[in-house]
Amino acid sequence: MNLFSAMELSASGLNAQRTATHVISMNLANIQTTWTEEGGPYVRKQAILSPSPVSSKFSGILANRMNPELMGVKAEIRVDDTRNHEMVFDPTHPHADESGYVTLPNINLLEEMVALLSAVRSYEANVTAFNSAKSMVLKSLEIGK
Amino acid sequence: MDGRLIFSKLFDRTIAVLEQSLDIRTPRHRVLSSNIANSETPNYEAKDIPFQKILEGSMNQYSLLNLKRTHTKHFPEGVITDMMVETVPGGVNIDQEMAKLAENNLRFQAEVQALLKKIEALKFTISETR
Repeated sequence: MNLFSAMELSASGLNAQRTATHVISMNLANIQTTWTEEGGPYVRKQAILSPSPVSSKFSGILANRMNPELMGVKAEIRVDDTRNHEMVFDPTHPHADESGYVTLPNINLLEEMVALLSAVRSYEANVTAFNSAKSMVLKSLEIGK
Repeated sequence: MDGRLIFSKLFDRTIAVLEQSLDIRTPRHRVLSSNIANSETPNYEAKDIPFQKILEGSMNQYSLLNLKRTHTKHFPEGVITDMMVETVPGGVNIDQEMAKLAENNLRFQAEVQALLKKIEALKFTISETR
């Protein structure tokens, strides 16, 4: 049924936005991490959203073949953030370099909080679309009662 | 009375029009859900189904496949609405999409309600004259 694939589209949106909030939480948790296993300070990660066909289920594949222009969304985590790291002078810090500077992660707290809010709002929009599809399905069950 | 005449009186155009309309509401919901899911996707273009245009077309007996009808009382074949997705210029405006979604949902509910009332009236007529 058409409306069930609409639910799958909304679900892909929910999934992508949830991934985005996970990435932001990870950035916030690591805002002071000056050393990682790969060496160097923690580098900010980003969830990049791109359109993608939904679901591996038969109905999803069929709906996708019938109108390929309708896409769900997927999130991938990327680390290609090239902004500069802040350097703080702290010679007693174990991760300080020869001149006594510690490199901090390139995370801006305010920016992350705004991105978090935006992701939550998008998540809510997808929940509304999902509930709307659900109420339509339930209503159409009443036909012929 | 002729059996065919009774049939056309019982199931007049109300049910057919409502059915057509509901047939457009569902794919439109799909399109709007897709827009909302992609509201933060870079370079994604919003899409929509021109409801008015399609419904008017189907009410004017416009048909996509141009199937021949042998009787004027025959219904036209179903409109293939999924093929009629239009791209709206500009990115996704989330407020606009949510408004469209709410409108589409409410109209769907209203149309089903109208259909229910129609069926109820038919049932009433059948049972009262028995």
